[in-house]
Amino acid sequence: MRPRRFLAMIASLLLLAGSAAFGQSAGRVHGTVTDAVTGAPLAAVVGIVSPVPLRNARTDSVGRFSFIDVPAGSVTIGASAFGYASERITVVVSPGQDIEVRIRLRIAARELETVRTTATISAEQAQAAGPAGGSITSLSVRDLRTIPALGETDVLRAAALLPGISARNDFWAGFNVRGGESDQTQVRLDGLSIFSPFHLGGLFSTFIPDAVSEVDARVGALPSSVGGRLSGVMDVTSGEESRAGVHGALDVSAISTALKLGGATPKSAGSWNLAVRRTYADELAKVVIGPDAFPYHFQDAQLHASLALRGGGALRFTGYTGLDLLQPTTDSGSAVLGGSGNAFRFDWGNKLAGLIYEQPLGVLGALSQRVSWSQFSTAYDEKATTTGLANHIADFHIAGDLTRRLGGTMATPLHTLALGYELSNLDVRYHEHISASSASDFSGNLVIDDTLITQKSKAQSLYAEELFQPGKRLSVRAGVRAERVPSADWTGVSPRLSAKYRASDRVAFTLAGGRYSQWVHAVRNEDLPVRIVDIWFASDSDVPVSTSTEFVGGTELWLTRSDFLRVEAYDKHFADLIEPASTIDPRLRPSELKTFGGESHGVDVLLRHLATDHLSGWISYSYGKSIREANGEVYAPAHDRRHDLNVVASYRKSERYSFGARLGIASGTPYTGWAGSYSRWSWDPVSRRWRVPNGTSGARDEQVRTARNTERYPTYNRLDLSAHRNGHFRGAEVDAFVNLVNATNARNVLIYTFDTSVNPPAVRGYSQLPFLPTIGMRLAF
Amino acid sequence: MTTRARGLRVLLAAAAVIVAGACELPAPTVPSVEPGLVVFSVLDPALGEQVVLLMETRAVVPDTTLRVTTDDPIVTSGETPVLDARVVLYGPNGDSAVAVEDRVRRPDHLGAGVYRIWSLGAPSAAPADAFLSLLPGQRIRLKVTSAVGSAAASTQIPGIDRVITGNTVVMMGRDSLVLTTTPTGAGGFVYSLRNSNNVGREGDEQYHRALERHLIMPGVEDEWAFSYAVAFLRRLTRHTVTVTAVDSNYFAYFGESSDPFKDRSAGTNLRGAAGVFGSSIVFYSVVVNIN
Repeated sequence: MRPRRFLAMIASLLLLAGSAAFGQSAGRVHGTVTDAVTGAPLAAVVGIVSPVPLRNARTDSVGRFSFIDVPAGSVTIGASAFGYASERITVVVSPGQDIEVRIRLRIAARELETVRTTATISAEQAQAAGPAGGSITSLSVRDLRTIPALGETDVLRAAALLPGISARNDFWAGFNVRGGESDQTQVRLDGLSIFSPFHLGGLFSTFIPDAVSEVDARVGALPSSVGGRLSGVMDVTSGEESRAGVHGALDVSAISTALKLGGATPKSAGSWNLAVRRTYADELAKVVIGPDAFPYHFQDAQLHASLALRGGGALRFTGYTGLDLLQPTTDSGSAVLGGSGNAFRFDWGNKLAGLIYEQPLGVLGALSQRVSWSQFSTAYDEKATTTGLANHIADFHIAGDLTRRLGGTMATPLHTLALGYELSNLDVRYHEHISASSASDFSGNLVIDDTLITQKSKAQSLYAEELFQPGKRLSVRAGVRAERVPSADWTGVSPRLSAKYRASDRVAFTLAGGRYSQWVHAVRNEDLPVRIVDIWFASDSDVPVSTSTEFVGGTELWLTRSDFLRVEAYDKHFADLIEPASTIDPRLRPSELKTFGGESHGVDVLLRHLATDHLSGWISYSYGKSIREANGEVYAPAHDRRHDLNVVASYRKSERYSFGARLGIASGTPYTGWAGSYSRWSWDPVSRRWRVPNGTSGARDEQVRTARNTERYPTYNRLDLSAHRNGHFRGAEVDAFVNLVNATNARNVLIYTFDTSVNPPAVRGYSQLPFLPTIGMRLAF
Repeated sequence: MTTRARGLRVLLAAAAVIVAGACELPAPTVPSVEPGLVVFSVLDPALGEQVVLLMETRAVVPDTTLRVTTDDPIVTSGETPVLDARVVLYGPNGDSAVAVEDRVRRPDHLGAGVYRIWSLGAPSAAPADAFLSLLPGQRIRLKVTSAVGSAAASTQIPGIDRVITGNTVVMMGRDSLVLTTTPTGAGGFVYSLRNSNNVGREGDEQYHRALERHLIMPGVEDEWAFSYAVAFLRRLTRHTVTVTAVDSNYFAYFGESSDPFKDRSAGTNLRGAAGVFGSSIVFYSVVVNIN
């Protein structure tokens, strides 16, 4: 036997012996990874580099990590985070000892050195090296700040720049994930569902950027632990302050001001974060233009607190409340919003409160429990005409998970079993009161309509899942979810399966498939391009549970240590989707609802360059085709966008100056065109003659639309630019920025309307956001 | 405009004002409007000729001062007729008829856009291939092919076993007038009250989805079909009470048109065109003398 081979065999035997001896001669290392200047916790990857690269772990939202069963002796731990220079720290571990380390990372210097560590990998590589479970794209708040935005950083609108996710227009309050309708994507704050997470008809998301640490976008292949939605999940994670005392940030822009305060208790036993925000265009307009010139504002508040428990557990509380208010008075300057007695109140908003308990069960298991209450409500009240509309949906939710690892190693257990449950109690109420303002409205009859729809719906789910990792290359995640919606008399079983094969350290192939179901629905007329609020209903005997099946296949390829390519193809089939039968008619009883089905398929491509030098960003391209079918009619849904390209780039010129850009080019979405107007002739069955409506009758001029969604808006394009100037002022970090939205003033079409008040009638177009410069400043202390 | 429509339009306009200052900026280029097809046809087996009116949608405001003539209704109403279209009606037994445009058939070339088939009498008396017998209970399909577009629809002619006619005397407050026949396959019913000559309307037609058998009842608090016109039913007056069975297309297009919340694009099976293709059949037409 050659000496080299003999030594390798001895080393292997020693390694195995060492592994077997972990339980007897090992210690524990835990700690935090934070920003060296601000002390903010970082989303980082921490690895045991030596004596041998044993394993890697990701820090949690507080920047904490933990390694159990660390071999005694000198151990080197490395940490790396996106945009920061890596660090290593060496500690000596004694058997049974629990060592705490604090790793502080500095922002990568002007002449950034390329990370060449062979054992430490980036967060994106850690995810790529992770087991099967569908693709997740993560954006840290640091990523989000580099993306030009209207005013301040926008958490959710930035996610719409990722592949597979699109918004119908600049104002669209929702996501269309891989051809699915907007309500098919669940947005969660710390795992707790929020129904309609947008302000101002979709211009801004409800999350205050300084209160957020990360956004994870999952666009399909949802695991068994995720239920209730057909297409995707957007997980927003609250930030947690790790520094003692009171710290925070103040964001001032042309649109709004946000203030965040937070702090940690001594010894990092707990932390709290409170953020508030309000727009003030209404107050400015009052001063500059006149009373009630712009009677709209939104405000929100976000609270997060955490408490570390014995044994490594944690108790966390998350709360959110938001309000959009449009309230013109008779003094309002706009004839539309007020003036001629058109005073009304229109408000909408979310409320959320939830408690999360997480507890490790030894070294091989974990338990989590969540209880939350989430509500969305909207109300329109016009006292002059006694017209009112109100919709309210509330979800009291209890859920829990239990995981257990079996066999294999700590880094790669052979089996990871998970069991979980979810109980949801939905309360839906819709009320409208309409009275005719004049006798002529209803052919001389005064009509008062009072519609009240209430729903008490429950949903119960159980899931079981196993992640099987027989080796470093192959992982298979198989699960099943059983769901029951008693009010809809519906029970379903949804199998889920995903597999990942790592052909090499650079290449991996993925396959996934599953069945999904959804029992809460936001019902809207898709002809309207602006989605101010959603009207939510639960499935019951009249409203079916929607279902879908999905198959996804893809590949992940690391071109270099800094460049990552992911390509995924998908095929989805939908059944029992619902929409109202008439324009914004929310009286959704059987005769007023239409159910339809359809399919979507496409390819998503993400090419991402990590910030290991001056430049970072990504290119995302999506090709998708969606078809819907109802009663034999086949059409493209209004969100069917065939091509969607986004190029996002951030250039850090120096520690002081950085620049951002986003270029979006997308094919136009469908709409239903016009074929003009016509007279509604009437047939007299008694005289058996046709009659032409008289000249003053409304039946003389009825609009005729073309076949549904057979026309397409023109190609969309938009270039946004940003510039940041960073500095310090009396110990506080200052970031002054200017954003140029739609820098080229492209006239992207929002909607066409048909104006029959002129002769000849004309189609008129309205644009999306024009060129909009905004300035702002962020002060972090 | 209804309160609901106005309120919703306010909301949409409010949203536009709030979120789109661009509304006031130069608008994007807009597409042109291409004309579409409009079809009006109601089949009645009691008629010897069935008519299908074809016209174009328009992109101009119509001239409402024109006097409409029965010989040339489309042109004289200011609409644009669809010429030289192929209009075919298909019967349930594989038979069919190709309609003839009046403009082609008439020496004076009036009747542009008016397409006609014959359905009663001797087939040989009709133009070639333009005869199709229509009977109650049959399903008839329509197919239109034209330079403006194509359309298709079908109608289920209500089935009746007899037509009730005649005279009767009713003493208000004492007597009842009740339907005893039951049509089949109807989508709804139209109740008409006319004067004794069956010409002048007395009140608007009433549309009921279900058959309302009680036409006249003694008590004003009772539910009866012509209670809306009780003011006309005075002593020593004479009226024509007519009940018509109509198909679902007819009822959806005409009967539900008064509901501003109803989606007018739904309910009929006409595809590829605006308008209606339906059927109606009068099965009760009685002269009532009020005593």
